[in-house]
Amino acid sequence: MKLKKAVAAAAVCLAVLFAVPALAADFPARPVTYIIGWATGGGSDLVSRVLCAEAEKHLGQPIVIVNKPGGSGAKAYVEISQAKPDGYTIGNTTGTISTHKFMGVIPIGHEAFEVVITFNSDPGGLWVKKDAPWKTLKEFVEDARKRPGEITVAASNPGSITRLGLQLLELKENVKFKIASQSGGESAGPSLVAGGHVDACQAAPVTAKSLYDAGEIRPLGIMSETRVEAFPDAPTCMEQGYDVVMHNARQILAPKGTPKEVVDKLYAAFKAAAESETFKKFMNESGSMILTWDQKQSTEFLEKQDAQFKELLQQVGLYKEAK
Amino acid sequence: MTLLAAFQTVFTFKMIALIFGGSALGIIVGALPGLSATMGMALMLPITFYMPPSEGILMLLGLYTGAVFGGAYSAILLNIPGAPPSVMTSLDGYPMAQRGEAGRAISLATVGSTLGGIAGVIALIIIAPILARFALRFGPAEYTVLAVFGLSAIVAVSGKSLARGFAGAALGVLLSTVGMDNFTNVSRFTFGSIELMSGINFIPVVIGLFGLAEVIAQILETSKEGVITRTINRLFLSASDFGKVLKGLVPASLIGIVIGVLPGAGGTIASIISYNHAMQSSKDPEKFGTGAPEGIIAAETANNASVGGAMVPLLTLGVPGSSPAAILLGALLIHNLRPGPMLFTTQPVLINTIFVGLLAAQFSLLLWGLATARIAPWILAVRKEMMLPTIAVLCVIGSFALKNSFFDVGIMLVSGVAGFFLNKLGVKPGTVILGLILGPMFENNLRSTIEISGAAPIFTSPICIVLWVLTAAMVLYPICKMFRLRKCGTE
Repeated sequence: MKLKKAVAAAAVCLAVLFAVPALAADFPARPVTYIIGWATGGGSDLVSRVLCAEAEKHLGQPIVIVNKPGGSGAKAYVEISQAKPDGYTIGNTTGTISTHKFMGVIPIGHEAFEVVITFNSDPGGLWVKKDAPWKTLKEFVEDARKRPGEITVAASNPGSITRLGLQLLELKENVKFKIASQSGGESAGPSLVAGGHVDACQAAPVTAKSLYDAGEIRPLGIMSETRVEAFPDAPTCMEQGYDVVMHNARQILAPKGTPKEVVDKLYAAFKAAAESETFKKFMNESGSMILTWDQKQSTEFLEKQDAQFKELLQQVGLYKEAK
Repeated sequence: MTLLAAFQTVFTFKMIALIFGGSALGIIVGALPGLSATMGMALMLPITFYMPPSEGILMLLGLYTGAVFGGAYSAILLNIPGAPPSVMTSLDGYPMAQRGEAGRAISLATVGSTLGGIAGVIALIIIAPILARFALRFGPAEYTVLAVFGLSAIVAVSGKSLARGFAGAALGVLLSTVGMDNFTNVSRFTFGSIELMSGINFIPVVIGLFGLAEVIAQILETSKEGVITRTINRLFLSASDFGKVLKGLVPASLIGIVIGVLPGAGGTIASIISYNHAMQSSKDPEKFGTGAPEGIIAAETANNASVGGAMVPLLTLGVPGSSPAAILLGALLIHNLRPGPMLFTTQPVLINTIFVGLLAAQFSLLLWGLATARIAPWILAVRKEMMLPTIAVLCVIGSFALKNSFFDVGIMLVSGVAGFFLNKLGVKPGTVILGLILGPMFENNLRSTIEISGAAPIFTSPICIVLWVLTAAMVLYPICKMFRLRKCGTE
């Protein structure tokens, strides 16, 4: 009798011992929830839906997409950070993962998560009307130097990544534009430029592509290190001698403490998805950049991004410690 | 030639099944409060990746068309606008249903939507490029005055007391100021809540003010005799109703198309302006809000005409003017098709297939609408003690589904209680919604205009001047009419 009990106890102990690693090894045994902190139909939503539809095939389990918009991703970040660290609750970021904590929105940033992958970036860019007087970024910047505060540039609200990109150019070149805020984010900018309502707009290539293809607007400079694949003719700021780089990258996050094995499995599935033909087609047609940075590369990037945004926000007077 | 090819593509069993199936699904999504066209389309999007482009796009177009129309069902039967564009439909649809003419209301909405939708598609086919250029001329100054023009509809939805109407609209505008201010990054009235940072969404407010408030009112109403079962038995509209549809068709379609084209507006604003116009130009405006067929026609025709309008900037410039349009853009992109002027030259057959398919989607509304006009009203025959809890549950689910947020459920509950008392005070909930929708449009564009160039363009741009004149006409015309009537009375 005693022996039986001891064997049973030992069996339970063994089961408990092996249970945790077995869970990680079995991952994913059920559908994975993917939280999007932005509304249905928005940029993050569409990109994520296309990516997840591919990742499902490699993960072997469905990915359930849940939109929880609120505070430009803030609500979703908090929810993911508090989820059980088992890999079954993940979600995506934008550059706001670095700005929120320096603007007092939420006290957490990327360090409160395991970063699975960086799968995309939409760098900033400066666009003018097809018949605008400025042919190059240099002409534009020099004109702004002569007429401070006169050239109107549409950008999103203060503290947005779009706006910060434009302000980075202002600070580096010591020029001043008349910045017009757009309530609908940067998406309204290219239409305002094409309609002649403003002189220029700051917008990612993905936002400007339609009116660029239609021949209504043209780029002065893209704020990435290399040219964006879908825009072979759009010069970067760097190649024109301006050291202005501003990414708005998307990562996938898992809660802190998610087993490495699980993060690796997620990375493999999402990397394969990001490299799939469907995703490539979608991103190229959209005018978006695909990246496949792993946890280490992503963390390095995010640390650099944190430093860049912290300094910028201090310079434009929006820096605030989160409570 | 390409048009013929397009007809051949669309008129196959599979395509018609996809369009009609899509629109049936859209009607269900639209009729359920809180589920929107955007949500239905986003869920179907991944499926379209694995379909040929024309099939996927036509299914989504059917869904979009159906969802814009579907909101009319819950607006008419339950007084809950199932989707934002049907807010104005409930103003006359619900009173008409309460009179026992739910079937008539649905038939009116169906025929109005179908004809409006067809007008929208025809405009899209014929003058899309011109309309697209027109849309680009709308900058912040023009949107500012458009919001003022929309706000002049307060007069139409106030009911008896104009002062109470303005109070309701002011409350709506005040609620709309909650959230992160886009210009200064200051949080207004958020009390440190992340939920409130993105503002108060108007959908849970609509569900509360209309739906839950009605449930509360009916619970407290003790002497309600029986249920409404009388429904119209004819399959099509009576000749006089059909005449009313035709009469309202031209102005409502024009308003729907023009407003639909503008990326900053859409079906909701189109139906507000159209309803306002119909009432101000009517011989007996006091009938509006009490179940006037003209009110239903004006709202439903305009919001479905705006679907064709919304396709204009998407197809000609590649600029999605609304969330459903953004999803259509995604569906096209996945197949290497980027809308814009190039698509018209490189893919003429596909463009024409979209045109023909959208046209077919309008006819699917006619089929589903008339088929259900006799069945749907039987919902009203369900006993009150079963019906009211069901509606209350729908209100909760609908407000939760929007953002998966219990916070929104709370907003809906508060709005429901507030709506009950506002009704008691004689403040029409429609005025609050008007303020909530148009307030931010006015504020953001006004401040944007001032940031760019000062306030001058609001009074000098040609489009603005036209809009000011229209606004003045909307406000002054009823006063003149009243004056004239008084003169007639004394003679």
